[in-house]
Amino acid sequence: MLLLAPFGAPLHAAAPRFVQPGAITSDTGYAMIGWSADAPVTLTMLRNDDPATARTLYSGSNSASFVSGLEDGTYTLILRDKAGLRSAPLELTVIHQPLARALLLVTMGALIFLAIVATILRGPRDE
Amino acid sequence: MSDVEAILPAQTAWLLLSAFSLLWIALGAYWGRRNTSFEDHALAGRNIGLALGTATAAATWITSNTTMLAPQFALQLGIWGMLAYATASFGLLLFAPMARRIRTLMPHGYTSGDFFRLRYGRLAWAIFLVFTLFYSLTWLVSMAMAGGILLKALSGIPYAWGMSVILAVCVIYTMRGGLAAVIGTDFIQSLVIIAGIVVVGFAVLSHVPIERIHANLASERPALLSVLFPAAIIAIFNNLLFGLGEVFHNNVWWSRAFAFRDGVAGKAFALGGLVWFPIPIAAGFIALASGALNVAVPAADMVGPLVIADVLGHTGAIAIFIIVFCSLASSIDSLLAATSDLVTEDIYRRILRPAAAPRNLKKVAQYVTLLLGVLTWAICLPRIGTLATVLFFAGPLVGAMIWPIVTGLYWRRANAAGAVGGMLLGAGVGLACYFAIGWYVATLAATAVSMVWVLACARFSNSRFDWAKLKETA
Repeated sequence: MLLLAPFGAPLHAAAPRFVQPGAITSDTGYAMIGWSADAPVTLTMLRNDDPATARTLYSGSNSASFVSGLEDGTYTLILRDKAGLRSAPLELTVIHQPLARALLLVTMGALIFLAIVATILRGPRDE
Repeated sequence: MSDVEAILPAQTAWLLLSAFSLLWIALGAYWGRRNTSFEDHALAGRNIGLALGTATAAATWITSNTTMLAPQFALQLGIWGMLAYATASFGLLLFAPMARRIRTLMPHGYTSGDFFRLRYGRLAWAIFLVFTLFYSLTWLVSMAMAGGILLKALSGIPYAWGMSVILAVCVIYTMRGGLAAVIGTDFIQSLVIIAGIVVVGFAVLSHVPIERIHANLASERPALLSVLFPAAIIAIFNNLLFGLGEVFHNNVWWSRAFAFRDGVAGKAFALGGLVWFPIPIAAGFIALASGALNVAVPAADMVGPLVIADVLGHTGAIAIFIIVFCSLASSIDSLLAATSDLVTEDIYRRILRPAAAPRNLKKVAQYVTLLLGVLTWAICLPRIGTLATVLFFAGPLVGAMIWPIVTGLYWRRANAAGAVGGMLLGAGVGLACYFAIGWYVATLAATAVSMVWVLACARFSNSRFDWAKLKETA
């Protein structure tokens, strides 16, 4: 083991771990994932515990990755370093905001905007 | 952002910073050499033509947020997010007819504060001053802070140095040259920014075909392409109304309306809006290509520079550094000039020294610019964190001012009770929604409540405002 030390490998490398203390939730489909690791890592993610959906999000020495555009579902994230050490899985649950509420707010915004445009384009009303 | 490695050597960055700083200061001194009165200093002699007018409208609206936050919006909220950011151009487009009206009604006006004082009286004026000074100072501090943070992230230049240099350069040339220097430098800065964004956009497209970008998004970030992405569609009108509120009330835009030559204001703001509209879309597109280009994104707010550096290498790193520096300077100088004019005209001249001579007012405006710079520097130095959230906090304040301004410009029935109640109720309800529900409804709620109150007061009012009262001479 001592022979490996000059090449940069720590004597007692710890397994990589996520900085998030527990499962995280998102109502926007995006999240920042942070971790600490002694060596470069590979971050993989799978959806609803289905191994067929596993994909590598990042490989390298960064200590964070930004994921976005996720649909509703439960995602499991795992870090693995070159020595094969694995982190505890991190669960990310995505539940987008209710579409009905979003459409209501959009309608309200559109009406207010149109009223502003009409007032300006119509010009002076009672001169 | 601290996790990102610098993409440009510090030595190159210092060289660029020094060269552009000297250029802006020299131009500021040159353009300010004919300023003798407050009117020259604050409004560039009311003689700005169409080319400079269009460039300053577009450049001032291209902040570091446009070049950095638009890609972030696209990465977080997809196509809708990109378009939501671009809707801020409606602020300039709709201000075009308003600017024509402002020039007609107030041929001798100096600030947006003059409008509130003359149109609605001292109480509405006081509320307006509190709201707009809070917003302006927040915007100024957030820009200066962003300058230090971005220069550090891009090149490793220490935060305090980067922030101090950008702020000092803007203060020096704004003090020396006033609005003429601000508008002149804006012209060059807008050309640099637009050319940079176009080159970067084509470079990204030449590296990865659009079909591959689409395929990558569809498989890895499907929500970004969804037409019914809830968070993204909510952001559209909240962002749009925030943009309208920012432009309609702030003296940055009113001072330009007063400074443009007769017949220029409407065209300049309309063209400025059209020039600005594609910028966030081009900047956002860069972010959407990050997956297809295999660019790792450790922080959403660094996606733009990371993709550009990946595609263009060292040249790209230099380009993004210059674009960021120009977009920061073009906004900080405008805010310094417009806010110092507001303080000089609305507080010093109208409250403290009504008999002050024009030449004296110019000196006061220069000292206020310096004081604003020092205050901003002192707030920014400890780097207490990002003020982007505080800027969002100002959303309800600016949203609540939309209807008092629009109806005040066009309806004789609009009155002080409507303006005061609209601003206070709108801002109150908007802030309550900000904390109870979220930032994404705050401006919308504030504008809605303010609209109902202002329209009700106008509907039941018997008063008819005399437009001639707005033609106050100095």
